[in-house]
Amino acid sequence: MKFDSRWIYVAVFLTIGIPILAPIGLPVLITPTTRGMFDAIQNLPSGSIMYLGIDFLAVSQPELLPMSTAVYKQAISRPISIVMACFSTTDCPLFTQRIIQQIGYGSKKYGEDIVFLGYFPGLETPIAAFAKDVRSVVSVDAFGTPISQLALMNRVKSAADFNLWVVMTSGDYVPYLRQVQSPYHIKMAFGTSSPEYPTGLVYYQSGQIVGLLNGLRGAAEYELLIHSPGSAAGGMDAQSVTQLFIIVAVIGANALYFSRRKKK
Amino acid sequence: MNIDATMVGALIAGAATIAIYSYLYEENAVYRLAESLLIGLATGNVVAITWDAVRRAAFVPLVGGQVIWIIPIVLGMIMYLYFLKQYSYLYRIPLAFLVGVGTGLTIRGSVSANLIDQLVGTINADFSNPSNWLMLLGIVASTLYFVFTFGGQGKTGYYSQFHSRFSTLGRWFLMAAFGATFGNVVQGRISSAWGRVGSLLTPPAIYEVPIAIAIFVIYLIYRKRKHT
Repeated sequence: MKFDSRWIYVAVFLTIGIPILAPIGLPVLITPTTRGMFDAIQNLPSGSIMYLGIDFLAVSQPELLPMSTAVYKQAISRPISIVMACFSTTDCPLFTQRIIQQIGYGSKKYGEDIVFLGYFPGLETPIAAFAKDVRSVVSVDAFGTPISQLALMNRVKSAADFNLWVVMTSGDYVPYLRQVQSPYHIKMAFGTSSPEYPTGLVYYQSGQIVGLLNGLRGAAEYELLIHSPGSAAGGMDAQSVTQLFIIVAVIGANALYFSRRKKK
Repeated sequence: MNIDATMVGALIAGAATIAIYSYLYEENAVYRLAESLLIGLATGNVVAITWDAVRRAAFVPLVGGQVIWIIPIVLGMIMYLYFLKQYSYLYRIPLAFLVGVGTGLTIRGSVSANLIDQLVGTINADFSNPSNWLMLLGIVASTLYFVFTFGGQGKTGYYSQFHSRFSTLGRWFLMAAFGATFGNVVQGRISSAWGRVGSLLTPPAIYEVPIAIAIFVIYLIYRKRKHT
């Protein structure tokens, strides 16, 4: 009898849907990589400048939008300045402006404490140029205001002026290590989609980055850390139940395969 | 009930999600419409955002008097000569710049970020923690797996046998790493599915689900009658 694989889609739909409609409330433990990013932002001295890149594709929105929102909320609550820009994806301005529209600038004033410089295509080359001399790449911000009119940008000449560099990305984050962290020894942390997380652990273990968020789970942990449970924390039940179903399905399918092979 | 842009957006997203999932039954016109919409909107977004980025990065400073920007703008335009058969060879000039600069930058940063800093991190690891000894064993064994000069199955000699056993261990470490990556890929895909299912099961999109089911049942009845 041939098994119709579409039943797996139905089962996954149910294992995701049922916990959404009837939440279980499974506990979420805080991992050291998430704590690392939280502490890095929390411990920034007053007057520090933080780079924040909300730089992911729409397909990673379920994972990266909640974590970016949580990180942004924490950042605007601290007495620091924030420079936002992005180099990886064209979807970035959409999500950055969506977060700004939803949360606002808090007590910060645009131009003095926070700026959004927009998207710069080319990844490796503009990152390197931005790190060396910000003005070689940026002449106006995302809204068309010349950066000479933005007071915060008078304090930012190169990557060396940043105290922390945080990128929320669904893509390749190694260019940031190559062009910013390694040459300028800037503290760096990443929020990544789940498939990118194991690669990032290598850089976390070596001390090249101070924090790393793991997809929806990292977002849920971060929401709990900032005491603002949101969509990600609510999604962890569905994540856990479905992951358990996949494990059972993998073990069951392999057991079935080996038992059939033995019979032959 | 107030109808605003967020609600309309959620309804369109819900309808598009149902249309895409309808592919699980069979390929159909509604699925193809949603697929074409996705491609069209994504392409439009890329063109608009990229144009805005190029305008802000190059054209604004050029108009402001920084004449040097004429060089990258002209080089960028030469790229489009690829589509003119007579002059297509010229596109190789900006392409050479792109490849040269890109390769130079990547190699310069790779040595420090991917090799030296990684080695320093391994050397400076806290070896009072037993898991770091396991990590060290994993690094040595996995690296030995990619040394093909010595050893190999069937070869004799002390080193060859040592190499063979260690590279087998390295293979196991690599498989464990691939397994961890696979687990995370599954986690990522579940998150994507959670995003869509979650939006479908919350208002206002949840009201579209019974409508979609009703349309599906009517379609099945219509199809059965047509075939009988």
